[in-house]
Amino acid sequence: MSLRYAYYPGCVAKGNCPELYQSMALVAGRLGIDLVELKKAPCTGAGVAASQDLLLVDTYNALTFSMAEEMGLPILTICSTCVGSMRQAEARIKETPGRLDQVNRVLRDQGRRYGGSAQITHFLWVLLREIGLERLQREVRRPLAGLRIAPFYGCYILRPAGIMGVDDPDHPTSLDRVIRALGGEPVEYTGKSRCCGFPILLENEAASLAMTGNHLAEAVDRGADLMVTPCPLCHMNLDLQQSRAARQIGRPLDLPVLHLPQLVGLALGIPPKPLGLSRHLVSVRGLLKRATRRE
Amino acid sequence: MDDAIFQIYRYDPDGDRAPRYDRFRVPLRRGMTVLEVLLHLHQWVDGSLAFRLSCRSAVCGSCAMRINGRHTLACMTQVSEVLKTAPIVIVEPLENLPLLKDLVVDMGTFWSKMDAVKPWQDPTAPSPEGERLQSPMELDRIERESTCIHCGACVSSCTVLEVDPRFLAPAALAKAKRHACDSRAESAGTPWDVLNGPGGIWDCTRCMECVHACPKDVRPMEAILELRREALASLSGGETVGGRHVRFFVESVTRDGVLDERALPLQILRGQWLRLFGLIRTGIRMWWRGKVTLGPHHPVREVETMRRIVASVKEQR
Repeated sequence: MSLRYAYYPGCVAKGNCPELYQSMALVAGRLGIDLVELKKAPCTGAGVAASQDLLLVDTYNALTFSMAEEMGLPILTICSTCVGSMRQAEARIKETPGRLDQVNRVLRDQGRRYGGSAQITHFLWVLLREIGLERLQREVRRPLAGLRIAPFYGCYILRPAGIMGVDDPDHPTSLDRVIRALGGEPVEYTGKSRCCGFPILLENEAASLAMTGNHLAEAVDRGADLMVTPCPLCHMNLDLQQSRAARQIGRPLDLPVLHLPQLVGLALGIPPKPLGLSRHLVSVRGLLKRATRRE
Repeated sequence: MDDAIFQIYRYDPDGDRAPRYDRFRVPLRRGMTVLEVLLHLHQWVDGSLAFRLSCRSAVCGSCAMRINGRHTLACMTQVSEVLKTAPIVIVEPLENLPLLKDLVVDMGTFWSKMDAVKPWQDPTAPSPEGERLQSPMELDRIERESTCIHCGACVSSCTVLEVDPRFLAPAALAKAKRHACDSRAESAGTPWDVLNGPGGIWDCTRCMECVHACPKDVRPMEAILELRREALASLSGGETVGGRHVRFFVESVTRDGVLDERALPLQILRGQWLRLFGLIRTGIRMWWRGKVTLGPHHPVREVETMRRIVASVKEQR
């Protein structure tokens, strides 16, 4: 069965975290996922634009949805914030009386129309529901055996539960199950479903860094060798800001943080270099040594 | 029905050296709530167990606590529902508020933050001749927040409050919105300087924990976003760091279809050299690792369409 998607990588995968884009391309190839990139699609609003104008946010997203409808494909993204923003917009358009007409009045001038049938999914859910954990397990060439991996879900892929609908936000398991299928051992810690702090890095830096630092510290204390996240915005705080977060909470951290496609790629036997593992600010060198020693 | 195992947080700061969890086996009746179990234990097993309650029907907001990690009301949580996903029931007090005893927390800061947003109409304003009328649509705008029962579940779930006690937190901010957006409130005393200041509306991470926790579906985070839209549209919010962040974001997306990530912090923190220095250092490390390049920012995509959409949305207003 071929899996084909209108691919929405999101700005971070093409900006500050190019290793995410690159690793997803490799993993999709291995798993037989056909990604047709939506090259003309605009930003989802990322939760930020909603602080200014909801109609604008809904119209941005309706434009993207109309492009996917034209292709006749469901949308796949590798960014939790994008999947959350798109699903929230989709729900608002569906549930607010008159909203679909309202966005279509704007789109009509641009020669576009949204029919109201967008389907939006995230790579994590595709692994779970379309590929299936059994097949994923069969594809593993280099099991992550012996690695203790802390799943960091972040907010947008979990809440609001009614709109996201895959995990119980209080006790999410999807990422844990993927880690287990790849041969790793998921680490249980309370911070896994909490906020990384990234959205207020500029507004309230101390709070933002403390949030990130506390979750990383908790994972380290529970014996994590590494952390994995389906959200590149979380990654920007967990990895890029980790040294400053360590200073903020007054203790060393040094926990490598991988994007979900990178972790899957490693287990599928793709070498670390093309997966862009050397691009993280927290070095993965020690981790890779440990992983190969355990092989 | 079977018995259920309850594990309940116990701590009396006046006598106990450290908190502990007590385990109880409780005979279940059909339809039994967590609150009814607590009442049973209090009456028949351990009279020293402390918790708050009043109405027992999700109206008074007294019995908020954490039940298997969920910030919610004990009176509206069926034991059988909890046991569908867990072998035992763990009951703990609310977080982010000081503990008094067992499951009872001090709501003092909850109420003082409520006071800080001045949730009332300005009494010095002249009285109208007749009634202050309100259309159903105008009521709709504030109805959700009006149903808050002040239970504290959202405050307990708040991720920002956990690390910054100054944060006004979801309940007080939702209350602020209820008054600021009341059509009869031409004289509402909404303190925009407080809402735009440290610990105010721009410190929310939009994590949606409060939306998830609220037993009355008040959706406090949505109220916070509505306050931000008000602050940006008509008031002083535009010159806060948060306001600049939002405005730059929307401008950038309008201009290029996609956010210019590198320019964003430089624009928002302009003049704050010390903070910029920290971010620039991270930027240099990113460049060194090959994460960012120095080339120009690439606009996507249907840029002209985006510009026209923005213009068209403005026209619709």
